[in-house]
Amino acid sequence: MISEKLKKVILSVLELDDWDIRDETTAGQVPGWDSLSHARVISGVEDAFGIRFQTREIVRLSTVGQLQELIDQKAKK
Amino acid sequence: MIFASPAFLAFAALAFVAALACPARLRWAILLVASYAFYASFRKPVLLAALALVTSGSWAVALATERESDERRRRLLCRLGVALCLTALAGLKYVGFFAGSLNPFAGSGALRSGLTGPVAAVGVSYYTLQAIAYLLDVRDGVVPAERHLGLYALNLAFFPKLLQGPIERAGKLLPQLRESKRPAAADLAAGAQLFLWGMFQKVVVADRLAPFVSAVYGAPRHYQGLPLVLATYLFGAQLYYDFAGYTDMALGVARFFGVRLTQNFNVPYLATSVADFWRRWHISFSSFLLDYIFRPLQLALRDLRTWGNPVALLLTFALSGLWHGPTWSFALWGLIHGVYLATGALFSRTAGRIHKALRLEGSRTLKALQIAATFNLVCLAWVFFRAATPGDAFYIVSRAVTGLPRSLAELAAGQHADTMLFLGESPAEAAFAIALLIAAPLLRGLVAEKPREPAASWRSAWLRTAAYAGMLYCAVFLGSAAQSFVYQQF
Amino acid sequence: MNTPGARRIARWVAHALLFGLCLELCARADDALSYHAPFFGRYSAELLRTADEEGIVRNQPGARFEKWKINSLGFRGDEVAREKPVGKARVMCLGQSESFGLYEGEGGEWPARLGRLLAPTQTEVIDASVVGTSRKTRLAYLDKYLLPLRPDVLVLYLNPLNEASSALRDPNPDVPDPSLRASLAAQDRGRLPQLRVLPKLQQRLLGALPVQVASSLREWAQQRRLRRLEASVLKGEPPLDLISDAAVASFEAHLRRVIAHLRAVGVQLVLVTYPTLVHEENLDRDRFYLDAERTWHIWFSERGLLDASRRMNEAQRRVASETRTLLVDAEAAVPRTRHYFADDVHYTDRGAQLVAELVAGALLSSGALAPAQPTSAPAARSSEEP
Repeated sequence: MISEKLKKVILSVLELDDWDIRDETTAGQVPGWDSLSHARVISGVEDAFGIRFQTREIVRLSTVGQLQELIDQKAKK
Repeated sequence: MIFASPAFLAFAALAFVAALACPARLRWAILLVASYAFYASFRKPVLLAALALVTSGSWAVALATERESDERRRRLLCRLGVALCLTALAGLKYVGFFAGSLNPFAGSGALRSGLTGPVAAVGVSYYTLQAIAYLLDVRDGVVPAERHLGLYALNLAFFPKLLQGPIERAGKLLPQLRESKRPAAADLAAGAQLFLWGMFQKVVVADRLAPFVSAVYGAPRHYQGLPLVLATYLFGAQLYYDFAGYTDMALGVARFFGVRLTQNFNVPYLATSVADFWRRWHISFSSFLLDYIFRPLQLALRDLRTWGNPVALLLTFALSGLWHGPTWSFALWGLIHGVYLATGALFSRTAGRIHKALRLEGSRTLKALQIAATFNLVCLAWVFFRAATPGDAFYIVSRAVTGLPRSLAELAAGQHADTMLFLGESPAEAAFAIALLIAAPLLRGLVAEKPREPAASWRSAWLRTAAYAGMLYCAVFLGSAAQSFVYQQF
Repeated sequence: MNTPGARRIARWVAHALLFGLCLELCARADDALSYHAPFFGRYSAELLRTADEEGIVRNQPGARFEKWKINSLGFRGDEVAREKPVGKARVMCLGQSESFGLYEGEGGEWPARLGRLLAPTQTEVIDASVVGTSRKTRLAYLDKYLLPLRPDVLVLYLNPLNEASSALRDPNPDVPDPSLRASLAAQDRGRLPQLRVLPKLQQRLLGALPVQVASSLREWAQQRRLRRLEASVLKGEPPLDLISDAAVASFEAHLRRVIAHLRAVGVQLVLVTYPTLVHEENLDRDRFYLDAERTWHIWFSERGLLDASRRMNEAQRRVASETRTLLVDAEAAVPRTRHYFADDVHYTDRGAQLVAELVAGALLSSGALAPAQPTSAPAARSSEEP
């Protein structure tokens, strides 16, 4: 389940009004989310949730759902 | 063996027959032997040794990495494997560079003397990158480590892609090699067509443009203005057809064995930005750069906020320049592209707003301007790629512009047409080159694998047959035989 | 018949035919662009030669085939005016394919080289050679096409093997055959249209093979051709190992007739002995080339060819000395190696240059190049040049 917060962060970084973001959504399916904006999205998520990712954790992500899981893991600690 | 030679055709035919004749589970062995035999035909035992070393090393390290559960140890092992690959790469290329400079045929800069200098360390740059990608993929759990050494060795050494790529990902190539299915009739037809089209691009178009380029770039200080400009544009075309031709030949040969390699090109000169260009040029290499160098770098530098991307791009492309060769010219070329991309990254939003304000957004005029601008930026960078020294490159860039008015005036007055327009070749040669430059994109439209509307397909089938006949004739009788590929020396 | 399988096969066959047709069209377009060859119609070396209504074999004026171009007067080389230029001596060279030029580059045949060597001395050199001619049409050709141009000097480079072969079975060895033209035309009509792309492909394939394989193939093909010719032409008779005395005598008589004829009209004659690559001493090494020559003179065995060229050359020397005719003994002077010979009798560029130099040397030192006055008889010169 994608939290509203995560969805809002992604939409705000990419300057989108709305987009259907679900568990199985991949970066390529969201307009404007390419290799150049990827770092901004990650930074935005880190700032919003007050967490810090490791590079290798990011590289293994392929869907937004997995990102959410990662955030949940980090937030628990 | 060069691809477009009778020796290679005979060899490939032999390998094909042998692979078909043997049972599926042994096919990998036949192909592996064939691939090593192919590599051995270059008569440089050190190359074979390096390949074997990198193969066995990366295979073992990948297995060990997968078995290891401690994160730190995994990263250490992986770094060890990558270091091995990079050592092989650097060692062979630097050794090759020095050996070449002792070679009497070397001239200025062994790796680049007129693009026909000694082929020092062919293939190394490509399979080492492939091995590095594999190691990193295993570490990150993207791909399982391959247990079968033979299959893994074939994955690195597969002869259609051994010399100049494409740089395949283990996840895409290994499953195909493991399956080792028999090629269908459609595969054979597609393979033959790809090979023929590739041979035409390389042997007829690229090799016929080469003398024009070498005439100017071989002695740039003799020229100024128009010839410098023409030679640079022609080089852009030559390099594309050379490399795309090789790639299509490689894809064609691989198809005969039922293997689909990745396409390296997607009409790169129609790119609307330099970033777009790198999504269309040498795609297997640029996606390697993207996934294994840029992404980690970008994430590591994300705290630099808006400066993170530009710095990451600069570093990535400076490295990519060096991969092409240990010379200042290549490093500068890479750096120039880095600057292009960094600037693009910094100003993309501003540019978007300007386009909106001028009401050009989404218009065809804008697209045309973008394509023209990108093409010229890329060709400007090619000057550094092709020129023998950075000094020559700077001379060419400055004199091409400053000398242009005078050379155009001279041409208008009817002087020096032979050197300025025809660059020292005969008008007949120049006419043929122009005809080829016009025909090639048209042919590409005809033979590209996506078929047009089904209704017209029967007509286009006849047209394609006629086109292939023409290409075969030109490649056999009107090509220039024995030049090796430009990208082969990297 | 209309099953999908059959239709597919039919489509494949149709595509294959289209493919072949397009290859052939490309070959023709290539020839048209490179050599101004006709797009339709025959294109072969036969375009260069013709027989006139009297049966005299000559070059077709204006014809072109690959590097060979015939001018409007029917000679290979640049255009020349019919009228002799004032103050210039006119030298004409008469021979066969060795003088017409086969393997040399453009302008590389020895008469063209002779022209360049003699250029400073205000001499015009015309190459009047015609491939494959012999005594049968020689005098008639001289009278009809050469003498009207009023040459001062005629350099005669005879192929003794042609002379020997042509006289063997012909009851009229010195008289042209007026029906020749008609029979050549009939032969032409009977021939199927040739595919131009096949010979090109064949050459490319041969060139792609490793050297040993290619030369073994060539040898095998040649031996096969010789067997076939022997069977069809000799019909079981053994080839000649020696040339007959009668044949040599007949040749000598013909030679004397030509000399007398030319003397009578005031033309200075230069005879050139006939060099060949293969002799006794290098027969083993270069046998392949001698056998190739045999395919043109199948009546002679290998030894017969060697005997024929030796004795005919001796005859030339004899006649030259007896009639005090200027002789260039090229046969003794040209080294018998593949540097000079591309095959048994034709030259490389180097060989052609040497022959041109020999002839030029003889002409210059004999003083034969002073343009003769139309009415005075030429002084008889007799220096034998080795």
